[in-house]
Amino acid sequence: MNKYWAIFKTQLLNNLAYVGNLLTGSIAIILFMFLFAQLWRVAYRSTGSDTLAGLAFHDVLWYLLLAEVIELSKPRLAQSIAQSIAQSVRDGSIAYQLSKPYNFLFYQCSVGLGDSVLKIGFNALVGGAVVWLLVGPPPDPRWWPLVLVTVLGAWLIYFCFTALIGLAAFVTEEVRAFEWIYQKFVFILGGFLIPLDLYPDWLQPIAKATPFAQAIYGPARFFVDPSWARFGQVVLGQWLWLAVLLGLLAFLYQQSVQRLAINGG
Amino acid sequence: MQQLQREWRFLLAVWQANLLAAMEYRVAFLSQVLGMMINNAIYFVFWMLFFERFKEIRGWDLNDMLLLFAVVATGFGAATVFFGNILSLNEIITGGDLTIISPCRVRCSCIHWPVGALLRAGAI
Repeated sequence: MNKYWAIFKTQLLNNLAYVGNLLTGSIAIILFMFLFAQLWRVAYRSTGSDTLAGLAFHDVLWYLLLAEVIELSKPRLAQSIAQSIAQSVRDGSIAYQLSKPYNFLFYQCSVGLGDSVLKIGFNALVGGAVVWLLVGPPPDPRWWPLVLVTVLGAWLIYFCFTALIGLAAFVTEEVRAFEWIYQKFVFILGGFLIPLDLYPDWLQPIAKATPFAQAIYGPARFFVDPSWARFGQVVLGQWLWLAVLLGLLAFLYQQSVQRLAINGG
Repeated sequence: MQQLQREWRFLLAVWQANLLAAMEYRVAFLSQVLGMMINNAIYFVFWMLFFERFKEIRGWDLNDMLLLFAVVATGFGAATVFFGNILSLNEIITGGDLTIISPCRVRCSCIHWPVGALLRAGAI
C-alpha cells in the first residue's frame, strides 16, 4: 500500500503547486449555486408552500451544494480516469504502464483521489460560503465526519464506473460518449439536479435503488437530514453496489488485458 | 478578395482533412455521434421531471423549455462541429502543441471536428 500512498501524495503535491487553478475552478460552483438558488426560490414560491416532500428551500440548497461538490470534485472529463485509460490504450503507453511494478487500476485510483481531495476542499469552502450567504447556516456540523465517509463511498462508486468506461477503450478506442451518458444518468437517476424525493412516486424507488443515487442522493440527503438510520442505509447501499462494481471491474480488467496484444519493444 | 478566397479554400481543406481523420476511427466516431444524441435526450428528462412537479414557472412551461433547448443545442452543435477544438484550446496551449503549429496555421487551431485524436494525428 505504501507505493499507492506515495502516488497519492505526489499527485496531491502536484495539485498544490497550482492552487490558483483550484481557486479558479471553484468559481463554477459560485455560479451554479447562485443559479440554483434563483430557480428553486421561484419554484417554491410558485407552489405557495414552505416545504416540498419534507424539504425546505434551505435544505434543497445545502443538498444541491453537496451534490455539486461531489460532482465537480471528480476528475474532469479531459483528465478523467476513463480518458486516461482510453488514451493510454490508444497511444500504446498502456504497455509501459502494465509492466510497471504496480497494479494499473490501483495506480489510477491513487492518482484520481490525489486530484479530487483538494478540489473537494476548495469547492466545499467556496460553495459553502455562497450558500450560507444565500440561505443561512449549514446542517449540524457534528455529522460532517460521517458525511465525509459517504462522500468517499460516492467517490469509489464513481471510480468503478469511470474505470469500467475506460476499459471499454480496449474495444472502441473512444469512450467519451459513454462517459457523457453515464454523467447524464448521474444527473437524472442520481438526484444531482432535483432531490429524488421530488420525483414522481413511481420513479422514486427505481432511482433510489441505482448506484447513481448512492453516489449523489445518498450522501447529500444524509447531509441535510442526518440520522444514524440514514447513515447505515447509505453506507450499506454504497458498499453493496461497490461489491458488485468491483467484482465486475476485476473480471473485465482481466478480460481486457488478455485481449491486449503488444507488439515491438 | 484573393486573400479571402485563399483563406476560404484553406478552411475547406482543413475541415475536409479533419473529417477524414475523424472517420479513421469509425466505431469511435459513430459512438460519439450516437452518444451525444442519447446524451441530449437524457438531459431533457430533467426538465420533464421538473415541470411534472412545478407545471409552470413565471410563465415558462415544458414547451418553452423544449424550444429554448433546441435553439441552444443547435447553436452549440454548429459551433463545435466547425470549431470543435475551441473546447480544448487550453490543453493545446498548456500541452505545448500550439508551438508545433506553424504561425500561418495558428488561426486555424480552433477548427476541428469533434473527435479528440485530430490534433495528435497532425491534421491541423
